[in-house]
Amino acid sequence: MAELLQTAAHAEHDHKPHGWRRWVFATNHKDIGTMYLIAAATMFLIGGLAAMAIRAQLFKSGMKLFDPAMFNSLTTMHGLIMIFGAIMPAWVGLANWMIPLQIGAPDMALPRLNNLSFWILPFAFTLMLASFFVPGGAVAGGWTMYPPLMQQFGAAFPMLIFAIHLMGISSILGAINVIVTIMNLRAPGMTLLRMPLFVWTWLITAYLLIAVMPVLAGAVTMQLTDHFFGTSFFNAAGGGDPVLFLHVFWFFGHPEVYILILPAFGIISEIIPTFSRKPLFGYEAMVYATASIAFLSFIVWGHHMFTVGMPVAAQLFFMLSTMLIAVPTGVKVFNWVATMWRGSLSFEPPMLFAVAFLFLFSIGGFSGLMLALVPSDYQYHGTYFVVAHFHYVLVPGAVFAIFGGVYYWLPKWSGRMYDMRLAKWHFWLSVIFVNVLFFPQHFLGLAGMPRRIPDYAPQFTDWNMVSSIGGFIFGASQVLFPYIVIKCIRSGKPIEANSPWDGAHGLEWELPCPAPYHSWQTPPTEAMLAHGTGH
Amino acid sequence: MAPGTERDEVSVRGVTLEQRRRVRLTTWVVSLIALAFYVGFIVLTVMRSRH
Repeated sequence: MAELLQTAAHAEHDHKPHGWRRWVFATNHKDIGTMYLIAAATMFLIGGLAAMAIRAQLFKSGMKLFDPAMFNSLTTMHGLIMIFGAIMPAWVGLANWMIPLQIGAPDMALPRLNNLSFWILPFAFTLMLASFFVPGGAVAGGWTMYPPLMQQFGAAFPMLIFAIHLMGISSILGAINVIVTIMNLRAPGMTLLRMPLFVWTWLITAYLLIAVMPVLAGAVTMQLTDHFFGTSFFNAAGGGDPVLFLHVFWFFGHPEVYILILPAFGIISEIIPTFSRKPLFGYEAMVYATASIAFLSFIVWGHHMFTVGMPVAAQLFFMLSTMLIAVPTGVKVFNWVATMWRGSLSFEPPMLFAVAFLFLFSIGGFSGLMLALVPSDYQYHGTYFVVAHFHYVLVPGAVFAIFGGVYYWLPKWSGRMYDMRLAKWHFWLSVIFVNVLFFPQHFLGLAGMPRRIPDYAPQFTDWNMVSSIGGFIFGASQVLFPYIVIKCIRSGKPIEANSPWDGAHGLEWELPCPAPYHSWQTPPTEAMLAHGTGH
Repeated sequence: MAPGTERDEVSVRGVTLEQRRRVRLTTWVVSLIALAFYVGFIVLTVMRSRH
């Protein structure tokens, strides 16, 4: 009866604005989530094209598709676009869609702020991409923007810094909204330790954003004043210290890595129990492990700069604190495996991406441990081994989790089921060729190939060719993803039940498919909550 | 009223007045934390630059 009343209440409120006003003045969390996801997909395409151009240039020794300055611009912009333009907005899009549904809230707590945080982004992206077309070309000093190299670029330099400020403001406003929503708008009975893991990981991610995005903003502001207003924060000639920028940047940079990966942990923690048809093993341990990882991320930044030079005691501290992260991360990986143990497993596309995540993210984690060792890092630093490491963390890690999340929740968003066969094709092409693309880069790095170079010694050609071929096929196979999503929305098979997945638990699955435009205006009942949270 | 407990009667589009008050308070606190990190790190850098 309560469910019938709930559905009737939704139907009554299921009116929405039409035309362009619905999107420009959007305050509905679902509309804003959709816009974030579309923006992220667009930037993923642009960043992916830059990656294809990089792999084409590196196909063989002596290739001259681009001049070295353009190549450096492409690598710099590829990194910035993928981090700030693709992965982060994709997480905010998923947060917008799912957090209110999962905690039983009617919307995000600050809907107009939500609109502002999204609509800042197109201006930021335009400014960043437009820097390709100003005299001197786009910034080419790497996404880390180290001075004094960063100071040597023309008009692109202030454009990029302004774009980073805008993206930072957008992220901070988004994080404020997430924290305020989760802390205040949870349904009656939804205590903190009954929250879904995706909500927990996003809450911790939002605190990380609040702490470190202002630090990045401060660092680039100081570069800006060094360049235009004669200050000497990082200018050695004026008594400043360029190494100081590295410290400030990496105080932001390492937690940023966890901003990109913690929501992925949350999604994997949603998918694996559903397709194992078992509750998540060690729920509370997962929460504490996530919090521990977030805490440790603030005290490991020095491992990015071992070769810059620092006292042995500092090297030891940063090495040991970095290795300590393997403990909570190990807790998570073992808990996911324990959840699957003796479960009634089935391998629909979300589960396929989740299982691939387990194996491939672990490879990225292990190469991270190798890089954490000071003597080893002296060998690996600045080589393709590092490129292989962070791409294993971010592509089959973060990006696969985004794919898994979309394939998991798309039926809830659209009310339709996607083409399962095509989605499996998307998975298998991605999982095979992501390894062809990135695994050889470990060998290249160990053999001494430096990163960020437009050409290389001929002995590195073979593995570069393999890597490029993998990259081209991986890139091309991603075209399947928007095709599958659009086909699902337009002509997928309608879903009658609240959930297409028989093992799914969570408040979002207590709502009809598609989720009504205005949901949870009447809070969920205790029975829904007990069924949804499993306790 | 703490979140996760009973929802009170006065509610606009599913959000109670008490929740609105708490939303405002949390927004201020979190915004000030962000501002403190921004200003704090610039001040730290200035202090460190003077060595």
